[in-house]
Amino acid sequence: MISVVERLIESWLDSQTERRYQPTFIQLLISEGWSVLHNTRHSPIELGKDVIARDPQGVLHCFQLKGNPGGRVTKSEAQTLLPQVLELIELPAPSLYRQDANERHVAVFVTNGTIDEEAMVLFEAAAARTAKTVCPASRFEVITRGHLVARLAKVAGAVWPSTVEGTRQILNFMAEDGRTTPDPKRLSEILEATAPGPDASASRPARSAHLSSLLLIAEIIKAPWYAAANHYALQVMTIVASVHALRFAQDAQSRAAVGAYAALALDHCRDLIQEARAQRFEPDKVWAERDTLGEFDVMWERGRLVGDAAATLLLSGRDLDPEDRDYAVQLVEKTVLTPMLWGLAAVPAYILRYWAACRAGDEVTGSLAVALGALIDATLEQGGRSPLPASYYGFVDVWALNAGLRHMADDTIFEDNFVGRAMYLRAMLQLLARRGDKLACTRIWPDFSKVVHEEPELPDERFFDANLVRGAGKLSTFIFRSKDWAQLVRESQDLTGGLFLEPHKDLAWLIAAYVAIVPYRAWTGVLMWLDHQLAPSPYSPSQLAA
Amino acid sequence: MLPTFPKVTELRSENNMLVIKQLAGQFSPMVGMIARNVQFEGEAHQITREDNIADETPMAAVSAEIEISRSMPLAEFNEEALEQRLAALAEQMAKGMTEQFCGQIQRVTAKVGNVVDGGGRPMDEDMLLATYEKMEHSFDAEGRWRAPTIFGGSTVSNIFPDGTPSAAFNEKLGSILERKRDDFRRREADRVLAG
Repeated sequence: MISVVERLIESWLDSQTERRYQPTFIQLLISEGWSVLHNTRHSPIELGKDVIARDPQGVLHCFQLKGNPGGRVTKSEAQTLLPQVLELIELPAPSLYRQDANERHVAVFVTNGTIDEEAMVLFEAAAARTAKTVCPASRFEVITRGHLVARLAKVAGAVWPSTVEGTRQILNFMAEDGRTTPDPKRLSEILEATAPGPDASASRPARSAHLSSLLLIAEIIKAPWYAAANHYALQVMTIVASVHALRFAQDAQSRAAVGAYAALALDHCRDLIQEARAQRFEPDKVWAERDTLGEFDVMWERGRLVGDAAATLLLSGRDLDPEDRDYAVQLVEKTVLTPMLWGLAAVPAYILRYWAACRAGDEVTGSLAVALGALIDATLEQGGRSPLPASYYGFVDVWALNAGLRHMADDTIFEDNFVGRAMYLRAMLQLLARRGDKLACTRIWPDFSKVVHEEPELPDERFFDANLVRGAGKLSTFIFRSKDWAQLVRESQDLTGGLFLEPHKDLAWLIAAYVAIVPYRAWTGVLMWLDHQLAPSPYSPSQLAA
Repeated sequence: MLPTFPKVTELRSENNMLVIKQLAGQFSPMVGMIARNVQFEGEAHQITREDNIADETPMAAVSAEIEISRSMPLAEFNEEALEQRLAALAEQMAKGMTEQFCGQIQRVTAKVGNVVDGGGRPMDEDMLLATYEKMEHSFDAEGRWRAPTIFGGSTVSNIFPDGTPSAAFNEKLGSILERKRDDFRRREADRVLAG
């Protein structure tokens, strides 16, 4: 009997070009215990090899991937492909990946379609060359649609939700409009249904199996957003899935696997930046995809999101073309200097861009103090500003609130009161203190101390899950009157609240991108831990205290 | 694609169209007074009259254009700037729709010989009476005249130099309406399914 998961995989596979199914193919190999050595997702095919990997027995394989979605490789297409197939067979894998100069590889031709008999005859003739011991390939294999579906279904089936509700969630998610940005909470629900957080007794192999299967499912459910080439949404999903997967990453090897998957988010960010540059997009200028007047409400937010992607790229240290890098820096600068903070949910993303601007060498401490002052004014209804909705409300909710469109938003936003209370302001003041801006802190303090500062206190492991937490934790509020500078400096140096993230230090950029997407997880301790990872202070604690 | 929010943009687009239609009605009272019927299928409308003569009205697209520079700072593209552009579109739409509408009326009236050509003179009492004479008029159950609405340029408002119709005009109009009322009653009385 064909299961839902097989049908879903068939339908997904039949719409994938070569480049699109490559990340999933990589996850499949990892799930099956392979070690992936080389992956040319975004570069031209190298020596006829898209992917180089060792199977669980240590045998070296070189793969060439072709996209024939829902179709077949005909004799004429095979003739066109023959030079590349011969490269796959006759050119050795780069020496970096071979154990010795004589190691031979298994050459594998992969297609998500089928292969005509006449085409197969051509490939078999080419494969005859592997009989010679001097040929770099020891044998030639072919993987077609049927093999792929069976292998993918086996791996995905291992974590496929066993409940009707779980299956419904996945199908509903995959039926979404690929032009939208998916809600991280809904994505987390699916990830939680497929791979619930491991309990302490979970074995290492069990964690590892869940990890790779989880990432494979995450890749498959991105299909509608791949089809729409919605790079921003794709990076959101990759980041949320990667952070979710960190719960299963208990050792260096599995953390590296998550890191490798998370790097895909950087590909999506780069795709977005390149497209924005090609379209001559500027975040502070009028730009519309189709309907300039219809897109009136989203222009600032679009600039903010593209700026966030640019900041993620810059913070990750990913190598970029000089032109892409310059453009990314401009995006970050502009969105830091003229931020549109429509709600508190936009604040962690602003801090992300602030870090990126600092790393790019911009002197933006002044703008951080200005932003903090404006947020305090808004919270206290001063200077003609209105209080900002809490961090649990997204852009569309706040837009609907301002437009009075109750049916378009989470109903609770119309009943909530935001006057006098806020999140993130403590962290922002500590960021200023860490940079030695005593003058700004002193100036801001009188109004800062009038605000009720809120902070969710939840179990550390809930950080990795974007679902709202019920039945555990609490919301703490902090009220201040006076404090001395030395104490503020000490607080800015305290990393206790982010210690649980220490194992993931190498992925600080990922954590920062995550809290920009899931702002209610930007706890003060997490933000300060990130600040120490991403923006070293020029001052020592003793210098600051003095 | 760059990030977007389809629900937000779709709602704003719908709202923009409503505003444009509303403003177009203000720019051109004739457009504003036209009752709207939505035609869901087809690309033309045909009306077949009592005498079996069919008139076809093709669908006509009315377009309007505005320019927004890509170098325009986003800070200047505020609600006021949006409203200005919607008004500019509405004005063009009103003009285009009025032209289409008048053109169609011109074609239809010419076809049935209902045209009164003033030869470029300003509208006056005589010309108005000649127009009323050419028209079919309707009356309510008590026989009260349902006066037609007159759309026109600035000269139309000066038909009556003193602001009120002259006694001669009223007399001639009364005589026309008497005949037209009889015509109307005959037409109404003719609405019979015989046999």
